[in-house]
Amino acid sequence: MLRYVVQRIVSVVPTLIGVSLVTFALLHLVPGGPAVAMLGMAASDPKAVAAVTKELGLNRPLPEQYWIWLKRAVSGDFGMSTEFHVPVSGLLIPKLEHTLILTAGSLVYAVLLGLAIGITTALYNRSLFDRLAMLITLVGASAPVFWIGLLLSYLFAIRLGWLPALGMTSLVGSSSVLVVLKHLILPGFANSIISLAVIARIVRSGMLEALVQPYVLAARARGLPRWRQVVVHAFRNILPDAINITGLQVGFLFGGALFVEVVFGWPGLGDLIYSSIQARDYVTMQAAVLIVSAAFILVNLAADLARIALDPREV
Amino acid sequence: MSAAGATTAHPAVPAAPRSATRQALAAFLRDRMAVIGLVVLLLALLAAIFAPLLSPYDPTMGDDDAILVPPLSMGHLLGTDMQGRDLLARILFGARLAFPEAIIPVAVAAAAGLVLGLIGGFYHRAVGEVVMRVLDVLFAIPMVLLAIAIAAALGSGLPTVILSMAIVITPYIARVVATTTSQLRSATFVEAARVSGFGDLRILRREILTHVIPAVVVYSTTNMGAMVVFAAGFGFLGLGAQPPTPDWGAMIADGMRSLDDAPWVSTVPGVAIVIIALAFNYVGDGLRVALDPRLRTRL
Repeated sequence: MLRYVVQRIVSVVPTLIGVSLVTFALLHLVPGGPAVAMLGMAASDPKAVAAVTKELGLNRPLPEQYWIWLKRAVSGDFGMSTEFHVPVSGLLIPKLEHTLILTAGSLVYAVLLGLAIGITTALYNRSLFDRLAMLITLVGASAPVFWIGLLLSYLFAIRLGWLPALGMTSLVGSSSVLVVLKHLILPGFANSIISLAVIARIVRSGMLEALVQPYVLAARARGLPRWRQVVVHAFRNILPDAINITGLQVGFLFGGALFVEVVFGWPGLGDLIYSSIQARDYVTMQAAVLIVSAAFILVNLAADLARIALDPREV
Repeated sequence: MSAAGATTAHPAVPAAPRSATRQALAAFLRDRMAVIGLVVLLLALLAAIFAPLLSPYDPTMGDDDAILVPPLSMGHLLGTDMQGRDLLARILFGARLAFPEAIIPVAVAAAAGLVLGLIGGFYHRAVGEVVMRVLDVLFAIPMVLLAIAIAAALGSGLPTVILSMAIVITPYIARVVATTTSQLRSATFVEAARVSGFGDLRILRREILTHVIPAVVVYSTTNMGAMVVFAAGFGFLGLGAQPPTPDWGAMIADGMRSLDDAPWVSTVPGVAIVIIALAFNYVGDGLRVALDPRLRTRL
């Protein structure tokens, strides 16, 4: 087991190096090359171009450029945002926090509603509710999250005025937890729809199979109440599958959050990326890819190690 | 919809299909939703091809006297946008982008994924290992983020969107191919071919490819619906075809500005996306069942 743990931790290193190579290459894709990408508007000034070229070693061979770039990135220096004229790292971290809050919020929706719908539809298989719920989840899963966000914000914020559509401000300082939660209701739900549908469908088919197993019949024969048959005997057996599929959804929810943020003016990474696209702020984009990917790799590592700790048989 | 009625009548025929292809076809035609989905897609494709003939308006030219006309109005069935452009015309012309945006990246990724997956799954030595490690790296980066970053770096436009989508989907197809190939490697018929003295290339082509291709086809089609939605995301962020070209995703973003008094401007293109994505999903499901004899018998 220790050997597996060490192996797993070491395996992260080549992946991280690979990700850094991909991110490094991104600036070289920009027409005009990294100097133009780093400078934005100022690239029309040959003196500035010369200075950046010298500083980043852009006239040296690529491996050397990569090394210079990597050393700076590891020390947290991703360069200056060409749009906001501040160091990118300071810009990114608070935005990333907001995106993670939105991701977590939609994860809660996806898990709670997905489980509830999945279990209920399995219990009332082929009923009107079952058919309706499955149709709605299928349609929802075929729609862009940002479009669902717009519809929800039109209905609940503009028309009914129940919930705020915009106005989520920085967490730091002013906003209380309650205010944040209130702003989270609509975007969190909009972003959760696809994952919610996936979880509901997996849980439904798993429960349909589990409910007819002999152990559920045995529980019923022993006169256990229905909820115990369902929750303790049937659901407990599909729990590993449910956890597995939920883990896979985190990445999707994160990706969706990037779009939903634009609709709701959520001050996160998606919002930042959106303005970076408009402003051709490649430096910010590059740093975002690097930081988020590194975070994902480490989260996956942590999840894997936790799984081993919980169930050593898996190794 | 008469075509749907005609095709769903097929199962009633007491057919005794002999070939595998005909069995698969019969299984597909038995799936009513898949057939409806296929009909919808074909109609939409025809509408896209003949958009200039079907549409009474230019999708890029606005009419100052018809700004934000609601749907179901005279002359504007789906209404108009802030610039007085007919939404039906824009939807029809938008379909000309939506289909290639979904199909070309998947086709490119399927070809690339097939080659990489075969190498990664078949050769467990250095070359295969390198391919698998490269795929691992691409998996580690969130797909949407990478695609946006590549598209943004290359500059917006249709070719850019197609290329960046193809790049981020390739690892997923390659993984499907690699898993299947790796399992087949030790299959008896592959051993037999090897003992018969056939080289790697022939084994890959004759023994393995025939099993891998259906898997790729099924994976590609079941994900085509997601690709329609994915492509709309680029348009929404302003990375796709540039205005005034009608792109469904960009149209949704366009409607955001008039959401308060004209919600239909965003709603209409969204409905178009949902219909096409749903149709692709049903067709993909039908194809998955039709091409997998094990699933077919369970129905």
